[in-house]
This record gives sequence, C-alpha cells and structure tokens, in this order.
Amino acid sequence: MPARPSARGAETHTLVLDNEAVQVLAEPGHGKHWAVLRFIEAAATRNRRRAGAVALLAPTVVRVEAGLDRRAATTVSLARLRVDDAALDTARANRAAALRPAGGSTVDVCVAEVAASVAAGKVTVLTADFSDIPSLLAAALSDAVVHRV
Amino acid sequence: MPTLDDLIGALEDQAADSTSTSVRQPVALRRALQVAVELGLAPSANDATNQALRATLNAFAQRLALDEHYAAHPDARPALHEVAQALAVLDRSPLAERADLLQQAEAEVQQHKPDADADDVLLWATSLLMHGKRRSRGERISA
Repeated sequence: MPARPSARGAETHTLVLDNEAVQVLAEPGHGKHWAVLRFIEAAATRNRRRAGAVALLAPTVVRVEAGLDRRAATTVSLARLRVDDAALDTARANRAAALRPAGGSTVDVCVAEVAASVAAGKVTVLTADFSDIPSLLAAALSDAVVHRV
Repeated sequence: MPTLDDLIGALEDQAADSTSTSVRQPVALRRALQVAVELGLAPSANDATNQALRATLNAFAQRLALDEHYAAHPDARPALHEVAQALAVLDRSPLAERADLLQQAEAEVQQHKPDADADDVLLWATSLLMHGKRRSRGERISA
C-alpha cells in the first residue's frame, strides 16, 4: 500500500486551559478576558471550516481549583464554549504523580499531564504560570507549547 | 422554539443509551466510509459517523455561544487580527510575533473579501511575510 500523503489541512490542535485561563474566561469584565476569548474564537473559526479541528480541554482539577461548574448560567460557561473536561484515571494519575519531583503545584502537574497525554497534533497550554508548566512539560517529554495569558 | 441551552444540554448528556436510526446516505458516501474503516482511519463506520456528527454539532454550538456572548458583551468581540494571532500561536507560525503584519493583512484582505475570517487574515499575512523575505533577499517578485 503506498504511503498516504500528509494532509496539511487535517492537522488537529488541542488547547489546554489552566486555572487562570478558565477564571478570566468566565469573567467578561476581567482585563485579560479578551486574551483567552480570542483563542476560543480561533478554535471556533477553525471548527467552522473543519469540525473537530481544534479541541479545547480543561483538566477537571483546574475547574475545582477555579471553583467553576461547567454548567454555570453565563454566556461563557465551559459547556457552552464546548471546553471538554479532562479527568485523570488511574494510569494518568500515576503519570502525574511521577511528575511531582519536577516541581509545581498539584494543579500544574495535572495540566502538564493532560497536555502530554494528547495523542496527536499540536498542543498549546494557555497559562499564567511561565515557570513550572514548561519544566513539567519537559519532564513529561511533551512538545506542547506554553502561551502566557 | 429550541434554544442553545437545549442543544448544550443534549450534547452534555452522558447517558449511554443508544438508538438505531434510519438515515438516508448517498451510496458513494457509504462506500467511502467503509473504505475509510478498512484503511484503519476509523474503528468502525458507526464510530466515524457519530464522531463526525458530534464534532459538527459542537462547532454549531460553539459558534452560537460566542455570538450570544458578543451580543451580551459587544466589547468582548476580538478583532480579526487578534484571532489570527491566536491561530498563529496554535500553528507555531512566526506571525504570532508580527502583530503589525496581521493588522495590515486584516485591513487589506477585507477590501477583497468583506466576510473574511481570521484564517483568511493569517493566509494574507503569511503572503506579506514571504514577500517581505524575498524582497530582503533581492529576489524578483512576479505578479
């Protein structure tokens, strides 16, 4: 069977939101709201052209830390914006636990594990933490990119 | 009249119930689906169909949710070049650091395509970037 040509347009992206990203997204009056919302709009733009092109993920522990119910009655609830939950099962919790020596908080470690576990495509982490998340991603051997909000 | 919340509620429903349904599919599309499964591109025709349908409905809901958010908070709507910059970050494009070119692209592309989206702006800005590089190398640029 001949090798399939790479389909550039079929590349997928995953955007992982950390604690501050989901918090400012939930608050339209926050000074950084636009900085996160433009990424959601970017995802919607791509998804309108090709459904499923950009996936949005928020680790469940991030939602707990931020105190966010995904069904919150706002125009920017995570459910409405189709930001999926990413929960840690046993195997993933083990991998996250192994990252603890690399530093950061429990939430940081879970964000890095979620980003590192995405099976395919480019992964970008939206975070305010430019110290611990990059080192955790490196420890997880992930090529995810960190973007500061 | 159903609302966005009805759509979201159905998409969020975690119930594992399933039902058989009768959908008229073009024969050629059905054949393409079977070939895709045989090529290993999808685990089954059923999974591929449901994944595609869910992705499409999620895209509809996401668009509608943002439109409702902008209606309630008009100042929250990002400019096209700001969305294009976010796309450049996702794409690992050097344009993520070239807000100037993205703003120029937004202004220019809308003269030719009034309904341009952020991907159109990003493509135009990519062209501006490439032309700028070729000019700086002294290469001729044909029309």
